[in-house]
Amino acid sequence: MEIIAVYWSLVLLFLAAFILPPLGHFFKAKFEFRGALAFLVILASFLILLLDLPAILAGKILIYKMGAWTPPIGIVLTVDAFNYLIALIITGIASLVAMYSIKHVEIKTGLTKFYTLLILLVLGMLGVSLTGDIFNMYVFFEIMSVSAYALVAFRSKAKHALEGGFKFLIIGSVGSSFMLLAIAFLYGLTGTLNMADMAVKLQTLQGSIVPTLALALLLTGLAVKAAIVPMHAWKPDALTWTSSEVAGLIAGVVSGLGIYCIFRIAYTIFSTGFNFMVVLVVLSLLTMIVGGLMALVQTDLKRLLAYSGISQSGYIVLALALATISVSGATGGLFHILNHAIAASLLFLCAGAIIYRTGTQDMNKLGGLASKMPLTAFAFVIGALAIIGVPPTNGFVSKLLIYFSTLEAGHAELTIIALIMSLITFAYYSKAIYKIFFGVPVQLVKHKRELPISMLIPMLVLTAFIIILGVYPQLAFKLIEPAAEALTAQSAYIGVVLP
Amino acid sequence: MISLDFTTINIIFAIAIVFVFLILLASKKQKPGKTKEELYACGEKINAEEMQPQAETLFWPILKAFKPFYKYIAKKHTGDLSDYLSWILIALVLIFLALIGVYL
Repeated sequence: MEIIAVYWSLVLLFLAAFILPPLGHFFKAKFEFRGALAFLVILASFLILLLDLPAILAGKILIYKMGAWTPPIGIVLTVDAFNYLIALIITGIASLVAMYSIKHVEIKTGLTKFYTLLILLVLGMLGVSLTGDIFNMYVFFEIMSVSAYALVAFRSKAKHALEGGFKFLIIGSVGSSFMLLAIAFLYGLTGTLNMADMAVKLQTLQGSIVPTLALALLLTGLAVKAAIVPMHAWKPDALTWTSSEVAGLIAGVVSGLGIYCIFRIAYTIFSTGFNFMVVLVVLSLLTMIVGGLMALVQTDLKRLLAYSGISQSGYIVLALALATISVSGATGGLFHILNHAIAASLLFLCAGAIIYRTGTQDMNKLGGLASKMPLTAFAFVIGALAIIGVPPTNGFVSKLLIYFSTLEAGHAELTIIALIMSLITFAYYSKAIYKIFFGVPVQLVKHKRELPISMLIPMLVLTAFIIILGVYPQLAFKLIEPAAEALTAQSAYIGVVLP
Repeated sequence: MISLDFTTINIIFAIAIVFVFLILLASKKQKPGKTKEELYACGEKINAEEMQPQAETLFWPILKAFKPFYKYIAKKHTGDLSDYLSWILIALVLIFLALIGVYL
């Protein structure tokens, strides 16, 4: 039996989550040890994942059968270019966030729990992206969600963080319940939990309304995780008061993962048609518009970033919804998942840096910070340009592909809406940049200095990625193009899992 | 798929950036004196904080253009959990109806 590297990546994270609590007990006094260990474990899982890159680039779909049980009975990890891309994003961004948190994390007690939860969050996300079994996906989703709920409210001084965490918990649990109900319907109907086998059996069930009900429940449940309007309300409340590294991970990666699951399930299990595309296009436009316009009136930096993330999810969903009729849609949508993960994480890390030095996230209390923290200002501006879609950043390439996808689909009105919302994005980011970094330095920022190097490195690495992928997007296309092909290749997926 | 030449776009943009830097370098030569950076109005010195426009008033024409949105939809973000849960339930029903081809 072939053992693929992604399996070891999962095993490493799983072991680390168990080993960290006793190790943390022995090294109680060394605050930075646990953060460094979490960073090394997540980085190692990212590097292990890279071992499978040649096989994925060669167009292979990798299968790992848990306990050597053959599908559809046993649980399988099924890795194609689509979910491999997502797995790389998860571990890559999470390792940088973990490195940033070593110095940034304010709490001095409960650090073992904090980093154990962080590793479990990454483990849950990685499991969701790699599994080929729908119930297993639900279980990993719960591991991810429970860790995220706890991290959002973790030892925060602000009572609003608890409120945000509680709202996230309740709304997230409703989403999870919808998913579980849908899985129960599908299992009752097909007698299997393997996604490939389920797809085959659903094709024989014509005329039943139950699969459509299950799809509606799954779409709504996953839209909660992806913060798609009108299921988005938890996100601004949860991300405004939580620590910036957790907010960066949730905004940059968790939402992208929710979108991945929507399209993995829709295109692999269900043979979705015109109605599904219409629903997603409407939801994407709502998400784009509501997120953008709400961001424009925010005075709290992290709340602005949270709404901005919602708006960008709209672009991704729009492009991927058009993937069946537009090649640019699949490529642009997947590239924007990667770009948004990088830029959103970077912006939240910059927000954390601003709070770390000034103690406030209220933009009205800030001004002239660029002269005191030039590298942070540079990173923030580059991240904002990537989200707006200005060359030479990676966001320009992905947004251009998204605009072209709407034109390819023959809907210029969608292009116009997307362009207008990009102008709104420019408006709220230029407001944030002006209010925080330019103008005469206010009293609060006088005598402030740049960040410690361990916090700057992750931010500068993300900034470098934005520019490199903007100047040389072909580097990312080597993986994104096979991922875009894998997105809608239902028969190839089924053929490998069920030979 | 519409073909895009990102190399050309990036070269054009790089040239534009070089021009901007040249203009910035030239402008650096005329640095104002310290007294010119002091803020005052009607002969009185004022704090930098008081001179900053408030974040909520920036881009007011856009806010005015989207007045109906801010009047009705933005105000629905009450922070009340029950409201948010009812949105999800309504969305579920509408999504199901749309998936079976019933558009309201």
